[in-house]
Amino acid sequence: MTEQGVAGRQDGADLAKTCADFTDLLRRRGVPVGPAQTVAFLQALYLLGAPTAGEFYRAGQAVLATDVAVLPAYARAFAEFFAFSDDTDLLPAAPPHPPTTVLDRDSETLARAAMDVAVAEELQEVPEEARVVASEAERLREKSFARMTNEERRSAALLIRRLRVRLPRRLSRRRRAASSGRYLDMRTTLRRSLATDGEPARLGRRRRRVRQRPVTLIVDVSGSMTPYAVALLRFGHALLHAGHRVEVFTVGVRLSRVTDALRHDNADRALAQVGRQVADWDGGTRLATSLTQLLAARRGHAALRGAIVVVCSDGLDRDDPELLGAATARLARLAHRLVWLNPLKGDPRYQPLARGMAAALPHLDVFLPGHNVASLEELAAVVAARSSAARRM
Amino acid sequence: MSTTSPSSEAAAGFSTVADLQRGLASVDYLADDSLAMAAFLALRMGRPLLLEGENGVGKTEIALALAQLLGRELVRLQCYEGIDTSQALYDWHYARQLLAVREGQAHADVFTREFLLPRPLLSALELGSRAVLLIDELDRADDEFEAFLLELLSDFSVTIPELGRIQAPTRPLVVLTSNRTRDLHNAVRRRCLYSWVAHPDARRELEILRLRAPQVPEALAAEVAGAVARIRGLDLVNRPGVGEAVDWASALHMLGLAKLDRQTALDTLAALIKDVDDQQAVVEAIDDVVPDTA
Repeated sequence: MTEQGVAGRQDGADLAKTCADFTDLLRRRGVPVGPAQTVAFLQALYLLGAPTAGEFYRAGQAVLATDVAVLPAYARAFAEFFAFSDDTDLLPAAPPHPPTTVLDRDSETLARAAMDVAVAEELQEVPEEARVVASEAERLREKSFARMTNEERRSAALLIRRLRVRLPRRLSRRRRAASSGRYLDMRTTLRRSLATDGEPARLGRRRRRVRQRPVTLIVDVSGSMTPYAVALLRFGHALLHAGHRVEVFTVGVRLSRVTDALRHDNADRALAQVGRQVADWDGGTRLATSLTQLLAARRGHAALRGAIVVVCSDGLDRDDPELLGAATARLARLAHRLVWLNPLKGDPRYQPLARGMAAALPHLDVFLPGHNVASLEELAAVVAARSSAARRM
Repeated sequence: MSTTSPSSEAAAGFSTVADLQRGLASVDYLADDSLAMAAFLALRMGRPLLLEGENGVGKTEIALALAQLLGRELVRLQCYEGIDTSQALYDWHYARQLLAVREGQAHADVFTREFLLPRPLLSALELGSRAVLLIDELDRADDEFEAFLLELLSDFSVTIPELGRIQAPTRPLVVLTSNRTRDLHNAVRRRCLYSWVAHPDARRELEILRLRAPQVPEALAAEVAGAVARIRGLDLVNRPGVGEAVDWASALHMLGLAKLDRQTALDTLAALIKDVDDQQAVVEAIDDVVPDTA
């Protein structure tokens, strides 16, 4: 895109339309833009008078692409938008004074357009399959995910959904009013003493709030891991919908964040969404590279620092084992607890001989199989077991 | 160094993005095109400016530079976990209130403006467009505080239950910074103009070095800028920021160096790299970082 002027000779209504078309395209290309932002963008274009393509790009970047993560999508959408026609006069010039009515009218139509999108995306509820008989459940708990029939997997999915996890907690710096506590609540104390002519007879108290630690699941989705990966994603889905603070990533050839895809209430739909999003499903694994990437992108992020990090992988990695060792060590230093699930460990004869696994092993807090429902229950228990010790921060 | 006359109308003096960019340069801040555009729009549209980027890329400095350039007062709020309204917005002067009540004014209203202690956010609101409000490291505050900021950022007013609504007479320029240690809520992002502040490239780094460490000769500064750019390209845990580059250049100059050599570079690495693993990585790659020019 050149820096030459792209202003044509149209009036304000066309500018509003260009603006609306552009934001509409952005939304479809994965840049979330609210109606208020579209209006702000229009204002910005008025301010700039007759913007050059470069100015249009940078103004849109400032107003509409409000997260560094969406910048590439923004750049692609911008290129696409202007590739539709070779007409460099595509951008209408703004009249000297913005007609306020245009802004108002525009925001209304935009709001309606946004609503339509929301309604279209609303998915119909599909009820999950019914109950699991108790004896059946007992048998399923011990059966490896890989050896289950499709029907059994459905039942197991229900068991996973029922798992209850108590996550470790830590003291927050935030204080709340309480009947007893270490700190004085001046506000309450004053209010109460108004009734006693300024005599602070009954003191108000505050104490530090308790916050649940977040959980981050890192799931290997390479070919051999698929049945276990699906089960663990279901586990992540259950955690997410039980209201815990959860982040879920998949690793294969690449690292993908799938937390938002899992937000759908229906687990099957959520998994289907993950499947669409993760292109390298069933491919090989570059675990070390992916972990290093995650550490680079989210170093110091609440999803890693002080969190419960659960890695689920068989440790058969295409990367250099030394790299995996280094990444695991760094992860262990950042996380509150680092748990590794290796389904191969479900076999009693298993020895962690894969070089990647051997390199990671010394840095783990907990090493579990995670190959069946019982083992996921164990995971839930282990994670919760230290909840009192965690108070030491 | 010449600056625009310090008045609240100074903002109107910048009719184009390039004007603002030049203005910022006159107060020693070199902004790239994207950042200048975001700052220009923030000023003219009265919207908050959200800056994200790694540590040490100069996010906080832009607020300082804007305050200096516009001749406005800088009101700074450093965020931390658990920050709440009594530290950020206002608090009551409880001791005075208690005394007033005990002095027999039992029926007097002690929830009036004279018993109110303004904290940074309220001060900035009352100053209106005479202030630049810097909300630093918003990611360190928790979700609850972010939710509370929403009202402030959308209509520049706050509600104090005992007093009612306080509205800013005019909009202050609000600058928010974040290191991305936590994902900010979309509602906050949507109310802001956004700019991702990246590490400067070698050319701009050189310009910054010339401004911030004028005693360092240009040849050395250029070598430092080049080396720092190459070091940032390595796989490091913490990439060095602009401040560290300035420190390093000053340290090398102090040792009487006219030209960067490998041994001295390694000896003074402490000024640039503050992580033992990273230092090791730089030592291993020193041949690429400081190329042989002999």
